[in-house]
Amino acid sequence: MESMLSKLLPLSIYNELYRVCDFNELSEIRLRVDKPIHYAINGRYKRLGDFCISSSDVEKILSYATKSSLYAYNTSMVDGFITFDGGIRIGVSGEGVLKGGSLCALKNVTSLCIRIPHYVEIKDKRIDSLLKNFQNTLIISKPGYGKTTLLRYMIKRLSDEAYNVLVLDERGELSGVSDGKQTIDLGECSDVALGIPKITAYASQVRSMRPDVIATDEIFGEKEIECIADCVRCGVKIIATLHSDDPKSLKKNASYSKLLDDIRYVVCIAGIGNIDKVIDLKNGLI
Amino acid sequence: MLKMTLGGILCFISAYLGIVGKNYYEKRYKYLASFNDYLLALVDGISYSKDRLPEISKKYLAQSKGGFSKDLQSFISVIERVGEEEKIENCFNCKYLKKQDKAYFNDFFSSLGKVDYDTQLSKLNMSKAEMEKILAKAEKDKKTTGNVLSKLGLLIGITIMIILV
Repeated sequence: MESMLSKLLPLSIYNELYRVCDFNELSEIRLRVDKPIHYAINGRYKRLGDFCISSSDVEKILSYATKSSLYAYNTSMVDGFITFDGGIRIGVSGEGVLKGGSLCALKNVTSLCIRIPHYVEIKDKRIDSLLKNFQNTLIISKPGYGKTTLLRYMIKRLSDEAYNVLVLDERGELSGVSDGKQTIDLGECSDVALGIPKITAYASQVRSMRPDVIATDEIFGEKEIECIADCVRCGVKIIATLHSDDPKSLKKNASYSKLLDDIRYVVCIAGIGNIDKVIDLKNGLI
Repeated sequence: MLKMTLGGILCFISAYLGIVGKNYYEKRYKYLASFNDYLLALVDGISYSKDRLPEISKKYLAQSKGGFSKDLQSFISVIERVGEEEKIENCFNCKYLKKQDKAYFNDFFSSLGKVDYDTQLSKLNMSKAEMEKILAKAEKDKKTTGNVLSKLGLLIGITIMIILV
């Protein structure tokens, strides 16, 4: 990860970060024009001294992240992110450019949120038993608590146990594909649908790849829930993540309540690598 | 005998200078023509698959040689390294380019890849139109000035020899 960050950050920022933190524990860097840098170690934010960054620093980072090819990232920039090598996801915020009433580009970027992926070995008996006889599983937590990290771990475990896992990696964050090569090990039997809009991928990839399990990060919207219901009906198992702090709040929402009908286990996370509870929706807590 | 030898040497030098002049226009034309091919590759690569600059450039470099390819290679090395963007202006410093050519290349490559998709394509199309004109002028220079220089060099050499002898 150190080498990836050295390719992404201007030397002054990289050196400053290198001085104060261990890159293996670094999970997020937040950069805002004319404001001090903040970084997160295992989910806890710290301020990087009084070191402020300029708009030219932000431009440089964008240029490095896109390999001087901003045009190639137009669509993902409009969606608010860029994926860099190794699955590093850079959230971008700035001034929108509208065309015919819809957002067509982003200019004068003022904030970047660099999220650094980690592969964490999760030692939890509840997860082990859940993986032994795998059923549809939903991972929920607040943002930044490690849903994606757990999802990656479970994908690898399932894939190594000869499940054909189709990973719908719309943002390139799960697999960390860089120049066509997977930089994050997702096991022997995983197939990655990279950069394909999830709604399209559910229909096309399920037919063509014949997966046993579909893994997807951050379920969003009714359409996706309908697609998941279709896949479950076809006999494909699902492992997915969702922003939520409590399964009870999901039940109150009509769409998510429908989703829960197809789900057997809900894993609630209390922090990176820290499972709060695993709920068997048929039999109660595990 | 001494005058004859001196005349021969001067004739050779003069003819050589003429050939160097012709060579300059030929190499400049080749350089600009290669850049024009690269522009077409850029438009194709960007509009069809939205490939990134290093990928498009590497594909182009795999099937081309010459002065422009060497300079493009150094440009790619610069953009692939962090903190070296100032070095872009040293990349296109070929001796066969005129001062205004170098300024054009520096401007073009410094701003390449810094804008959104639509703007990038329209900028490339404008550059293509501009380059067609520059290329036509360079071809004319090669055919007229280049040929005249080589012939003139030889002619002046022979004249010097005749005068001396």
